Amino acid sequence: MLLKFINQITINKKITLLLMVTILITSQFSMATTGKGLVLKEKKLADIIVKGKVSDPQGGLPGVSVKVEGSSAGVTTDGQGNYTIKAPEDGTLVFSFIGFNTKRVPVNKRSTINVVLEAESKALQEVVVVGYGTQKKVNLTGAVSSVSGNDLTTRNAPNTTSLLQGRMPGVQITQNSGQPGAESANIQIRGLGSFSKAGNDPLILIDGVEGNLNNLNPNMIESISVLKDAASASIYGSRAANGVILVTTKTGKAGRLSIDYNVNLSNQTPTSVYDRVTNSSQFMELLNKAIDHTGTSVEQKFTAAEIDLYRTPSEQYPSYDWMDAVFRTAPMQQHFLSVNGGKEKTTYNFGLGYLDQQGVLIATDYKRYDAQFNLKTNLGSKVTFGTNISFSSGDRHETALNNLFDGNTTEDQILSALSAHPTFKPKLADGSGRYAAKAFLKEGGNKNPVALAENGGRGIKNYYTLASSLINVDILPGLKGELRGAVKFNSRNTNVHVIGIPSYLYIPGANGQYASSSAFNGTVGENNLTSRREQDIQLTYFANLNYAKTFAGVHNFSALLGVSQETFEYERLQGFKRNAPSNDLTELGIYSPGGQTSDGFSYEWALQSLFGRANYNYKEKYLFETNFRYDGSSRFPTGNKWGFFPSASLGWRASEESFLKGVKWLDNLKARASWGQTGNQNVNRDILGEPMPYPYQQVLNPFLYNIDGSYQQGVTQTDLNNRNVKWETSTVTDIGLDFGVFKSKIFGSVDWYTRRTTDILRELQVPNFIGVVGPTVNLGIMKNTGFEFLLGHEHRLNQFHYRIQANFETYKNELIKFGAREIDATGLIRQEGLPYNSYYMYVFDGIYQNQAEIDNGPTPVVKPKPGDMKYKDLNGDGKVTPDDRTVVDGAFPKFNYGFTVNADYKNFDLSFFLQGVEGRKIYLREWGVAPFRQSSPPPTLWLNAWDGEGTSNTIPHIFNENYAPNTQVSTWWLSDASYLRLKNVQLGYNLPKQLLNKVKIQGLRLYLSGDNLATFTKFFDGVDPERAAATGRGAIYPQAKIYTFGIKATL
Amino acid sequence: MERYIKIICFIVIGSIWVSCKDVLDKDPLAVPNPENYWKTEAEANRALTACYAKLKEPIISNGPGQSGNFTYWEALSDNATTTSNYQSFDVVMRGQHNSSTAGIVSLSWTIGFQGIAACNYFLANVDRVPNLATATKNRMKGEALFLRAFYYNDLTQLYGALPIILKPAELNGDYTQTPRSPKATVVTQILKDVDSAITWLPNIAYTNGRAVKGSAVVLKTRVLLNNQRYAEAADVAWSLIGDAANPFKLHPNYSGIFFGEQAGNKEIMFSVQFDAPLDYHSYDQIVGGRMSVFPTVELRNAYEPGDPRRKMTIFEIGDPWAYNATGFRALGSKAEGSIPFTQMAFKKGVDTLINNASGATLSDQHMVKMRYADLLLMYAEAMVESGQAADLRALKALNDVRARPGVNMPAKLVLTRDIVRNERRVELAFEGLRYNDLIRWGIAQQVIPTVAHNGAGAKRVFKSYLFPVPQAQMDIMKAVWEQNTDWK
Repeated sequence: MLLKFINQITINKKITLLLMVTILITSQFSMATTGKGLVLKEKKLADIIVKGKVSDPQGGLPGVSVKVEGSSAGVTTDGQGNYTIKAPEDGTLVFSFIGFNTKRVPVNKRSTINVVLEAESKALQEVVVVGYGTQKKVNLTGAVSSVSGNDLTTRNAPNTTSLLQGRMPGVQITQNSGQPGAESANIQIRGLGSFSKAGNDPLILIDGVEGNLNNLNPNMIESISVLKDAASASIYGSRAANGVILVTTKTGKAGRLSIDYNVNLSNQTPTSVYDRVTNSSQFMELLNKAIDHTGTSVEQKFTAAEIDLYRTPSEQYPSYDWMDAVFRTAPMQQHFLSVNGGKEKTTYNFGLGYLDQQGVLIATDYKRYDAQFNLKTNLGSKVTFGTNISFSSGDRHETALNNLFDGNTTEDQILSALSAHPTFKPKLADGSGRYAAKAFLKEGGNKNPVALAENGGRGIKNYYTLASSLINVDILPGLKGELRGAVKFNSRNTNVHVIGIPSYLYIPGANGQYASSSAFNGTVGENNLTSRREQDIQLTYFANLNYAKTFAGVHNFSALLGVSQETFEYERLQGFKRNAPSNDLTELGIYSPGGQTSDGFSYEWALQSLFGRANYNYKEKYLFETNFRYDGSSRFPTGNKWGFFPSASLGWRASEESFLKGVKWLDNLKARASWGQTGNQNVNRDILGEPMPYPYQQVLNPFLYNIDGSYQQGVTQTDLNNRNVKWETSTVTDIGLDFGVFKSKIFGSVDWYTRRTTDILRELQVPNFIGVVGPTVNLGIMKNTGFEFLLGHEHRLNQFHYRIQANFETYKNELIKFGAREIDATGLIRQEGLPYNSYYMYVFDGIYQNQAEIDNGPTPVVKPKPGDMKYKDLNGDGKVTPDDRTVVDGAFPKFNYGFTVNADYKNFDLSFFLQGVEGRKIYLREWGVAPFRQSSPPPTLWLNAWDGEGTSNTIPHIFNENYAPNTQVSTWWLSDASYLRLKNVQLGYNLPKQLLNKVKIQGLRLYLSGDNLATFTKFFDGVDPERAAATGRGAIYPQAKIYTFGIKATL
Repeated sequence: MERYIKIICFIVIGSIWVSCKDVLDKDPLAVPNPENYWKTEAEANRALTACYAKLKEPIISNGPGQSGNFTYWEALSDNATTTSNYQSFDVVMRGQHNSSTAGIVSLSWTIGFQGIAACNYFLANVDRVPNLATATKNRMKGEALFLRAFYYNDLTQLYGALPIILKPAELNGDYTQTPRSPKATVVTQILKDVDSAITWLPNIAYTNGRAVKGSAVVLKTRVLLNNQRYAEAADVAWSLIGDAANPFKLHPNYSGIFFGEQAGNKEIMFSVQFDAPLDYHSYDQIVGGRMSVFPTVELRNAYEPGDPRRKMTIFEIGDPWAYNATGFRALGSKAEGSIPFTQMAFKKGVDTLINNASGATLSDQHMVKMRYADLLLMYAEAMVESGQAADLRALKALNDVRARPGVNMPAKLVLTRDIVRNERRVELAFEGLRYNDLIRWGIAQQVIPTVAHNGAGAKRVFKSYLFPVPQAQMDIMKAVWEQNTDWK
């Protein structure tokens, strides 16, 4: 009924309606404050002045809130813990402070009241940030994980996303690259929810508005909450299907001014370096052997005389390891200054950060400056104004590639280095600085990665601002209103500067001259520049009313109702020119106009929403919560724009029951159950070759063609459009249990969930003969079912204190409804009943030891020789055909886990953090694994290759690249990428207070820290197992092993 | 306090104003909406241009930054070998492909039907343009029909039976029930399109990339020959060759057709045109510099002694070569690739002055798809195959090609199948036609297995006269389609 009613009125009217209510309530409030209110007047009659000191066992406590019960009037204690307040002589004072039990003390006409506060049991009082508010952790009914900023920043990774890795069960982070400023860490919450075109990215909100985690200085983070189930996330409706990450930045704390300064000085080395044959003569003999076996590129064989030149390495005939040329030990420094404080009604926190990181791969570096300013001020006692402003400026460099604006140039650099032979060095031995391409003309290979690193390059400057302002109003006791407006502005300037680089043969000719060889990155003497300017702006506005009241002391009730609107615009402009008079110009100005091109486009989207929540609990024992969101998106056609996302959850704190109260060792036991729905609307469609937020609109796409003597734009229809697209919906059921025993010495939680995504937004499978791409439709069902565990132990023995926390999660993905099966050339299959993108390949079955074995076995897929791979004839029809490929597990990990230990003794502290993935397999068949891929020296595993009957049944005869009998998509190339990584170890020392007091410093901490120190894995040697879905190539930017010395000073 | 109340009210009222706009109605800003399109001739012309644009696919012509081009089709024949894995041409060359092979086996299918879809979209909508002169409209339709027939002919030669699609796709079309029509039915449809194109296209020389009547005549002759309808093929070819108003003739310089003398060239009957530096390709890099696709010994041996076309088509050891003052040879080369194991590289169409093998050569040779010598030789072949070898017009057609200035090969006295076929091979070498010729002559299974695919002499395998229907398409259509016989 309610829905029907809501549907009948337009959103504009709905928003108007809600806001009219707001006005009504505020005007009543204004009447009450203009002197006609009754309650306040009565209380004012019998006020006396009360003074006193609030302390804990260690001494005076500054910043404690002292309030008169029933009134919102209050003060905070000063630096020594003293306070003065006006209170009714028969009133009650309420002392509250984070981390301490709140204390109520009747005044009883006393003028001095000294109070000692007791530290509360942390686990029971912890507050977590939830959608549009906070909630005591013990009262949560949904599945929410949280981590504090302090925990995150024990690691020194400069990237916030990477810091989240392994911290919370159900939050999977895969960092696919170690490149500074481009770590491309991928976040998935509770597995792969959908194969949707709308993607799998969670919604990331910073102080309530959508923001970018990578532009946020980790030091500014107060806490991060992850809303994992639909009950917690559905208040974010249409964008919550893949979970929501709520980041809260640090606000100021009233009390004395504190100035913090952190500095980290780090040294980085690659975690893994590709392990290859680097002895030239050995390499040359292996290549000859491979060519003899394969029969291809016979002209590339080395003669015995050529090999002999390299028997004794020299400058002219080296055995060079190209990894030495491209990888390096790189410094990194981070500085962070924060000024934090507040007086009376105003608090502020100002942070200023600087990061300067060189990459472990040459030519890569990243610098970031950031500033954040959070301010809050109370006007009177009822209105709070605040603002959060953050700005960051990033500057990243890497190499450039001709015609590949967006190309992965670090991968190219690494695979070029992998392809280079040990027979030559990057520059000629004559010291002229000229680049070498190869030793002998006949050799294969790729580019000289050093030449690319030293000439031209790609520079990306990013400017990012996220600024929001808010007003909170205490409208009536229990009723609060909040308005927040925010602007996110992001601008990115990319210049790709390409220079043609001459190169020479490393071995001089008979006349002593070096013959020139190929040119890298274009024609020598030419250069070109592409400049791209992008900007996007996102405006967010929301308003909500929040009401909380306790009836009869036991019925705790709260409700929230709000509206929001978001709009987004993106613009791009790009220009390209050739041939500047010199090679060092990186602006388009003087480049020649011949052949110049320009390009540009823009797009926009908008969302409007109405949302609400009701919360009820009885004595904080029986908990109930319900949420809804009603969202309208510009991505859907009229009639389908609006979607409704409800949820409900229940909690039972069994430990509050009288029959369990007597159980002394049980502090907390809570059962939770939730059900809810969330949506996914983030669907794009390719227009002009770019993803744009117009899934249903009709469009014509352009094609350039040279006709009538000029280069012209043609247009035609390239896809079908469907005017019936609507939301994709995820339905999540979650059952959980939280517990704490022995005074919370042991604590933990268990969650089981099932997440079913329906109406998946995807491109309809159409046969290619219709000549156009299928429309975006709602079709497909995917299911994830999983368990998550968190277990912790904390203990204090005199001055020794430690805390151990482990998390573990496992889930199963299943494609319930998909359509016709799809198989990729890289060995992936999408088929109903299987996990999405399961491996599908031939099964390796040993090595053919002799010709008889080939002749007597099933007809192979490609004619092999003895020493080649054998594949299983699974259907037993006597021949190996594509029908003998089969599903192989390992597409998804069996489980993910993380393990943290923190310990401190007196002024020392030590922490470990381990993270691991178990049961995941990755398919690699090219650089880094295969022998002679684009001529690359073979990884050392090939030294144990088959070499005659009986020599090996696991590694085939060494072969030249793309040799079909051994390069079929088979399980041989699928390797166990399980790993356990020691992500961080940190040893810290806090200088004693007595010492610091003499120099008037509040705190000084020194620490040594190591990141990614050890990795345990069975993966291909020298290749980093931590990587995103396989491209088949082993060449990725390895993560850095980071050694850091740091100082944290509080002035 | 009242001040704050006013501020709040102001914000509240402001937010009502903000939300009053139709913020949820967003339309694309960068591309046209087909509903508002088709108002002018210029708009129709752009939709027609898109029909041509599929010819830009490198497997049909060429493109920038590519590591291959349409001449790779020669590597599937006995004319050339490739060492590149570009679009799996090498896999097919070795005969190791199957219905799941990526690259050319599935790409040809997809691209062909995309071209057909663009033609269908044009043909279904061009009548919406108000006040478009009938002559103009018919000429435009003629071009679209020519292109649809062109794409369909390539497809049916590769895959045999095909679904016949003549209208733009619709959202509710039940495509999974569409049958594959037998090749004969497809050919009937192709000929219907070509006949309309011949009627509507102007009988003028080819200049600017647009198909003319002569292009359609070549296409029709090709289609008829492909389907062994020799007498009809001869008639169609003669309808142009024998026409007094025939605007085409042989160009006096053989190599100029492919590089250097393409503008206003009367021999070129259809091509894909380029114009550097905006619109360029990588021909000189791939063919001349990397030598990724190179001649076979069999091709070299096919030339009669003294045939100058051999030197104009192939680099051999010792030939003048820009990369080395002492000639074509491995030592001292600046070329990007190493000299192929056959000790030869292709010269046809290559800018022989370029000695800097790199992707930035900004090559813009037009990729010739049809030329008059091809028509003459198809005519000669059709006459031989239809029992009219004795007709002197047929012999003259062949001898005209041999008598080109600079070629000057002695006239043949009689016309036989072998003579015509060999003349075709050497005259049209490396123009992407040989594979189709071997297929339509039905001799591929004899010829292909005799050719080596690597320096060790490993021989190729010939698997089938048809490609398999790509497996992904069979997975969708398995209820109504059957895989081609050799691939079941």
